[in-house]
This record gives sequence, structure tokens and C-alpha cells, in this order.
Amino acid sequence: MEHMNKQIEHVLTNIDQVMIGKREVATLSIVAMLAGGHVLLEDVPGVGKTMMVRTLAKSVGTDFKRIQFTPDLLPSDVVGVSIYNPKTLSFEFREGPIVGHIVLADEINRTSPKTQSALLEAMEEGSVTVDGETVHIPKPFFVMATQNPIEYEGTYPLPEAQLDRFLLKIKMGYPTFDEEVEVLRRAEHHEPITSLQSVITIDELRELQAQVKEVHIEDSIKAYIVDIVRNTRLDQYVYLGASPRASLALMRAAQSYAFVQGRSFVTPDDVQYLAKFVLSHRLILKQEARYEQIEAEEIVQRVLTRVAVPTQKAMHYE
Amino acid sequence: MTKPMSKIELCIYYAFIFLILYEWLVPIMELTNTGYIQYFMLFILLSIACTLLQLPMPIAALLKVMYILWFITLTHGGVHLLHIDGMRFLASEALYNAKQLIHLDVAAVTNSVRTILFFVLLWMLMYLIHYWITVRYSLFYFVVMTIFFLASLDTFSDYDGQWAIAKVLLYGLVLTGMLVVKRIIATHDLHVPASYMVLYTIPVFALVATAGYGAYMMPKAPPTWPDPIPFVKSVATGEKSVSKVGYDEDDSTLGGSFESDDTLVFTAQTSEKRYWRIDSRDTYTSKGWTQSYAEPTTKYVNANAYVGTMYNAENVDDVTITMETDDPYVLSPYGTLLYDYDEQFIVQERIESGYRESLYVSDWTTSPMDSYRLQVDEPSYSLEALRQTDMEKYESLGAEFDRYLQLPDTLPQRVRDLAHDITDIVPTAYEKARAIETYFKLNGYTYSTIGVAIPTETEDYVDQFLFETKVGYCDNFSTSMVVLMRSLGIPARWVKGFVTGDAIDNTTYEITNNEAHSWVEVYLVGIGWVPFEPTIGFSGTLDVAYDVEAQDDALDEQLPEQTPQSPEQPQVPEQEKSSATSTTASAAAIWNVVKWIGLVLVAVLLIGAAILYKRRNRWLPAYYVKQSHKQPQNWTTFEKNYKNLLKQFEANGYVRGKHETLAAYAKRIDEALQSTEMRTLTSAYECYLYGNSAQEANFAYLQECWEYLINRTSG
Repeated sequence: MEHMNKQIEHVLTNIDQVMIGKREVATLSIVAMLAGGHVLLEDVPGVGKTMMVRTLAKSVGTDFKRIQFTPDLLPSDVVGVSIYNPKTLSFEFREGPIVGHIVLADEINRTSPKTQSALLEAMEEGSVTVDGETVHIPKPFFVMATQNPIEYEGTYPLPEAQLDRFLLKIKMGYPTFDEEVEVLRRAEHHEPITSLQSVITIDELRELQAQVKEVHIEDSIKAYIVDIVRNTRLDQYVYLGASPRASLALMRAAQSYAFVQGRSFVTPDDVQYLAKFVLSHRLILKQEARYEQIEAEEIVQRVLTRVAVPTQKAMHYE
Repeated sequence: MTKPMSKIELCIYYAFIFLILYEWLVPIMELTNTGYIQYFMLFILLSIACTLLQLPMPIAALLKVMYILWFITLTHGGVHLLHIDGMRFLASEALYNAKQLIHLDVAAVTNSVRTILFFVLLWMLMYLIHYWITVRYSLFYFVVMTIFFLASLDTFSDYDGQWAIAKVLLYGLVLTGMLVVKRIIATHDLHVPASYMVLYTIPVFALVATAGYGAYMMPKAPPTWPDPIPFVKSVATGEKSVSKVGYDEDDSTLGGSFESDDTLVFTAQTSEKRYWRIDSRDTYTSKGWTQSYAEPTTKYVNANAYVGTMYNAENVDDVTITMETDDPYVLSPYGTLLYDYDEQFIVQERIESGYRESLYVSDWTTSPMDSYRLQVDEPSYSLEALRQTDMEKYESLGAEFDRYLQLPDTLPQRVRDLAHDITDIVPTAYEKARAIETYFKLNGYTYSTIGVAIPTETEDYVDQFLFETKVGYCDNFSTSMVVLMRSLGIPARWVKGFVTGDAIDNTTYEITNNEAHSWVEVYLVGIGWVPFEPTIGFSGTLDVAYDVEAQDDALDEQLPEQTPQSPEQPQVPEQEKSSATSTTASAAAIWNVVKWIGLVLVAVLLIGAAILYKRRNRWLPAYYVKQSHKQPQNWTTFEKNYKNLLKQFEANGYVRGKHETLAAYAKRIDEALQSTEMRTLTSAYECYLYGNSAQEANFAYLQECWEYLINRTSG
């Protein structure tokens, strides 16, 4: 049977000390981090989104930067600003909170599109440019953005093109009754996070990221991924299907997930498992879907049942 | 596996077994010229008794051995076993045979050894039967084999197993029926009181009895296939087996069905409907027709030379024949005056039978003429003259008519009696012929070309048709009439040729093989050979001049209908087929049989294959495992094995959707089978399938897992 990658296992066990019943979210976060992608956590306030990021950051042995998005936040508040230094008679760049290894972008949909765009650009490029000066954000760079479900008032829904920048969209979900009681028990005397130790270093994390790229992905699986992505474009409820960027994302995520699982190759199960996290926020549904209350996750699941799993060594696309 | 049967029950079963074994022994005794059947039956009784009394093995064996020895001394030595001579005989026999056996001279051993072997065989058979009854609760194969055995003997030897087969079938059905009930009770472990058992068997008895009685009472079709042995022999010796229906030279065996054949034989330009006479036969063999002479006398019929007498110049008709086949015979319609043909040919006539054929002048070989012409003046017979054929006139016939009065010695008396019954009310030969001609039409005979019997070795062709089958075609009717006429002392001969054929227009007729026909010529003193047509559905061409006053005679009233002037042949059904065939028909029938056997064989093979295919889940795993043992263990063979396993699971109802990953499927299977092997195999397979390079694997362990799973699929 499969055994998880030892280091990742350590990290997850570490996170488990603080986060209760959130192993899947933690695993997916690590998958995204190792794949060099970013995560969009979507859920109501108070279910532990911030705590997850903090715990993750602490386990990796780095601090995390937090940007609380508000309607009046300016792009410069995110990426940084050049200010004049009278001593040196020159403008100096003061980097914003985006420049860091792990960034928590809290309630990203509450700020103006302009600021959102600045953040997303930084996420995509891995660098920020202010007044013609480009500052590279050190790797690993991992943004975990949270957003309230868009039905809430006072939000600026993220444009679909920008949602594309997130590798995975994860829903936190409420803990079960027992889990919630356990949360209380652990927090009875002190915050559990304060006693948390880091288990890997940033350098080790970089090493792991390099290893993820080595995970083998057979051509038949690549074809399978493309099959799935192309099929999202054919669904009757989908206005705009997933893009080739989505195929790429699904492959990266699958590699990373396989690595986390301690495997040196990707299986169709990895792809199937990740498809809804990778693809559902990249689909634009038709109005009919909304009327019939069909969620994007459902459509992704449906697409999966339509695509044949490759079980032949020889490649037969189509 | 179950509680032992009660004694009474066993007793009943063994009673039936005893009866069946009796039917076994009878033909063996009969065919091997062995006597003493009662002693063999006694031995069987002894065996049954030993079983029923549950005697200990050694005692039962001793009893049987003693019995065998007693039998041998009594029958081969003529003395009783316990007598001193008996002992001496036994000792000498044993010594002698032992010596022969040591020298491997099997042929020299005495009959006592063979007898012992036969007893041993019976002994073993009794054990087998006991096993079948008490453990398997099934005697089906035994019964089937018995019937097969009896049927084979019945077919291939002199033994007549007709009743034995019926009896064995009935016994077998009752036994099988009772054992089925028994089996049901045993497998479901029911507790049924003895009285119920009796109750359950009553319907079986009733059913078998009803079926047997019904089968006995049902009318049975006559055998339409000839005895297979002569046929097999004829095939083996390369004799003609299958030929076409149509005009045929050989009539030595008649009977059997035939198929129609509408090959065009010739076309005739003629102003009247004619019977196209070709040949006649004079000797009836009780199976068919031959000639009384070995070599015919021949003479030539020159072109444009008169061969007949012209009665009425106005009546002369010019007939043109165009042959479509390569037959050399020349047609001789009644009243043929002369032939007109190409001078390259010459027509030769066999005087005894009137058969005419064409020869090619340059080399004197028989050769067909494409076309020739005839002048025909069909005779018209005076009714008055016909009526003056009193029987006294036949008493002074010359010896040259003897061959037309010939009848086989084996002809049953009832045929002769029938001839007299039919004709005694009329005085003249002509009227007698008419009476016989119409007899068939009025007495329930039917015309058919299929389902026509072939007489067996002991049967007479005419007798069979007249009294038993009453179904036949022209050969049956015409031969019967000839035989009946001869029985009355009136010369008659059997004539072959073709009937009128299909009219294309007023003067053109097309004659196909279907028009091949046979009819009768009767010698009427003072008139000559006059044709008669006894076959139902055919009207003759006899032209009778009504030169006497109308009579109230019922026979005569029918005459006008039978004159050739009647424009149509209303009685002739569309599919009317007649033939002058002979063995061809029976050969065709046999070919039919062979065809059917072939078809049945193919069907059986197909069904067998279908069953094998349907039940492949059962035997395929074992085959796969066997195959896998022959192969080296590597990824390629592993892949093959794994795929076979998938197929097996699929066949067992574990269907994998196309979208289902192998891992998910494996998990499902393992959950269903409560195993872990499928996941082990699948992750190994995935490693091979999706991994980047050839990796090492513990193939021995994988093989073990695979064998475990694939063997489970066969259960």
C-alpha cells in the first residue's frame, strides 16, 4: 500500500495538533504549495481559514504575512510603495506585505477590483513592479486567499479570469459536533498554535518543490487530463469551459498530489480527486445552471463520469 | 451424503434394473450363441440380493466366486463343483489357461476364461449401478447407453430389438422419474414419509404408462429410409449412390422419396398429347424391374422406313422432337409410323422391349440426335373389339408370352387374391384391366413423391404398397397393376417414358425430368399391346372408338373422361411429379439422412460450444492459471494475467464503468470478496501502467495473489 511522503506526513501531523478534522484542507494546501500554486479558501468567517494558514506557515518555519482586504485598500498597500528618502536623495521602495513566503489574503472579495488585480498579478508573475522597479518575490511564494461566499453583502466578486490564478479552490466546511467540542477542549487553557514547532525549513520546502516536478506523468494520463478539461467545454450548463491553463494546473496539482502520496507517478485517481478543486472555479456556468441550482462541482463530477479512464499501456487518445 | 435408502425402495429400483439388464443379456446371448441366460440372470439376482441383504464384502465376494466356479464346472465340464470331478476339471482348466496366459497366447485360452471375464464385467456393472442409484440418484446415462446399445445391435445385426428398446425406455423413464424425486428430497434434505413417496411415484407411473400406451396406439409411418447397411456398403464399394431423378435405366430397386427436377429433356412439336414411350420391362423381382434376357436382340430402323401400320391417313401427325439433353434414346409414341432423321445417325431398336436409340454411323456408338421427326398415327381401339377379350382366349397363348406372366415366388397370396376380388365381376380382359386401373382411384390410395416406403429385405414392393402404405407415385401404381394383371393370367408389361409435358402453345410441349413416368401395357388378345394408366392424377391416351351402344356399365361411363380429346388434365396437380426412377430416390433419401445427421452433429457441436462459452467462467480460470505457469514472470505476462482477471470479474458481474479507475474498482472488488489481493495487484499494475520506467516487483507474490483471485472467480 501507499505511504505518504515522510516530510509531508510530519507537516500534516503537526498541523493536526492545531487544526481538528481539517486534514484534507491541509493536504490540499500543501499540494498547492508544493506545486507552486495558490489556494482560494472559500467559506464563511470563523471556520479556521486564518488559523490554517498560520499553522501551515509555522510548520514550515516561516512567518506569514497577512493582508486584510477592505474596500478602501489601495494597490500600494499590497505591493508596496516608493517613498522619497531625503538622506539619500532618492526614492526607496518599501515592499508591501505581498513580499513574503506565505501570504494570507483575507477576504479578498471585499476589496476593489483594482486592488484585487494588483494581488493577482503579483501571484501570477511572482514579482511586483512599482515605478518601473521590479522586485522579485522570494520563492517559495504561496498565497492563501480567503473569501466569503459571494452572496454576502459588500463584496466585489472576483472576475473569472482572475480566479483562474488560483490552483485550487477549497471549501473549509464546518467541523462536526465532536470536532467542534475538541476545538473547545484544546483551546481551553491556551492557544494550541503557540506551542507549535516548525518541522521543515524553507530550503527543504524548495527541495520538495523541485522533487514534485520530477513526478512522472504518463502520456495516457496527460491525455486523460486533456480529455476531462475539453469535456467541461461541452457540458450543456457551461458557458465557458476550462482553459488549457486549467489542464496545466490539473497536471501540476496531480504531480504534487502524487508526490504527497509518496508515489513517483500520477494515477487517474489523483486526477479524479483533484479535478473538482482545480476545475470548478474555472467554469462559467449558464443562467440555467443557476436556476436549476447546479453547482460547478457537480458538473465536474459529471464530466468525470463521461471520460474513460486510460487502462492501456499503449496510448489511445480519443 | 444422505441417509441410506430403505430396503423396499432399493428393491423396487433393482427390480427395474433387473428387467433392463435382462434386455442387455438377451441380444448378447443371441448373437454370441451363448446359452444359459437364466444362470447369468441368477448371478445378477445374487448380486442384488447381496447388496440388499448388506452382506459383508468378503462373504458376498466369496458367494459370487463360488457361483461363477459352479457355473463354469457345470457348463464347461458338465459336472457339479462339489463333485471330485468338478474340482479336477477346475484345476486342469486353471493350469492350462494359466500356461496359455503366461505365453501370452490369448487366442488359445478356453471358453471358461471368457466366461469368467464376462461374469467379472457383470459384477463391476452391478457395483456401478449400485453407485448410480444410491449416491448419484441418476441412472439416466445407463438407460441412454442401454438404448444406444440395443439400437446399434438392432441396426447392425440380425437381432430385432424393437420391443426391447420400447421396454427399456419405459423402465428407464419410470426409474429416472423416481430417482429425480429422490434427488430433490435428498438435496433439500426433506423428510418425506414413505406413504408420500409412494404418492409421488404414482404420477410418474401414470405418465409413463399413458405415454407408452399412446405411443403404442399411434399410427406409425412406414420406414422411409432404407436399411443403412446396404447403403454404407454401396458407398464403401464405390457404387452409384446419388443420381438425379428422371429417366433412368436401372429399375431393379424401386421406392423411396425423390425430389423434383425441372431440367428440360426435350421439346416436342405435336398436334396431340402423347405418351412418349421409351422402354419396357418384363421381369418383376419383388423389389423392382429387370429384363428376362441378358443381351437384347437388335435391329436397325432406317430413316423414312415404316415401322407401323397406318390406319387413317388423315390422322397422321408430323411430330418434331428437339432433344435438350445428351440421352441417346429415341422416343416411340404410340402409333409411330416412321422416323426421319439425319443420315449421320441410325436408329437401333431392341426388339424385346421396344427400346430405340440412335447410333452415330461413323463409329457405331450411341450418340444423341439433336433433332428428328416422326410420323404418328395413334391407333384408335374399337370398344367392341376390346370387349371381346374373353379370358378363354388367354388359355392358348404361346410361350413367347411367358415372360409377361412372370411373377416372383415370394409374391404374397393376398396380392393374387386382391386381383381376383377386384376383377371377378367383369368377364373380359379389357374390363378387368379397367377395373384395376380404377381400383386405386376409388380405394383410398394417394399420390405422393415424398414419404414413399422402400421395401425391406423380406417385403414385397407391390404388397407393401397395396396393403400397407397406399402412398406412392407412378412406379407403385404401374408395377402394382402389372402384377395384378399377371396374377389373373393376362400378359402385362411395365413401360417407361415421359408423359405429355407442359404445353407452351397448341402444338409445342416441353418435357422435363419431372415428366418421367411409368405406366402399363396389357396384351389384349386380338388387339395387341394396349397402354393403361393406373396412376392417380394421370389420364391415359387410350383412344377408344365408341362403336357400341351406350352401356349402363359404371366402368364404361368413365371412359369419355379418359380420352385424349379432353382438353385439360384437371386432376393433375401443379406439383405433380412422376418418375421412372429407381435407386436414385432411395439414394437421395439416404443423402437426406446423412445431411440431417451432419446438421444435427453441427448443431450439437454448436450447442456444445455455446455451453462451453456460456460457462467459460467455470473453466477459464484453470486454463489461465495453467497458461501462466508456462510463461516467464515479467510485466508483459503480468499485464496479460491482470487483464484476464478483469475479464473474469466482469463476467462474474463486477462491471467496471469506463470512468472508474482501476484503484477504485479494486477497492470495490476487495470489499465484495473481503480480500486485499486485488488492491495489491492493481497498485502493481498501476505502477507498470502509469509509472515512468520498468520497476522491479515481487512477481512471485503477485502471481500468488492473482491465482487466489482468479480461482475465486470460477466458484
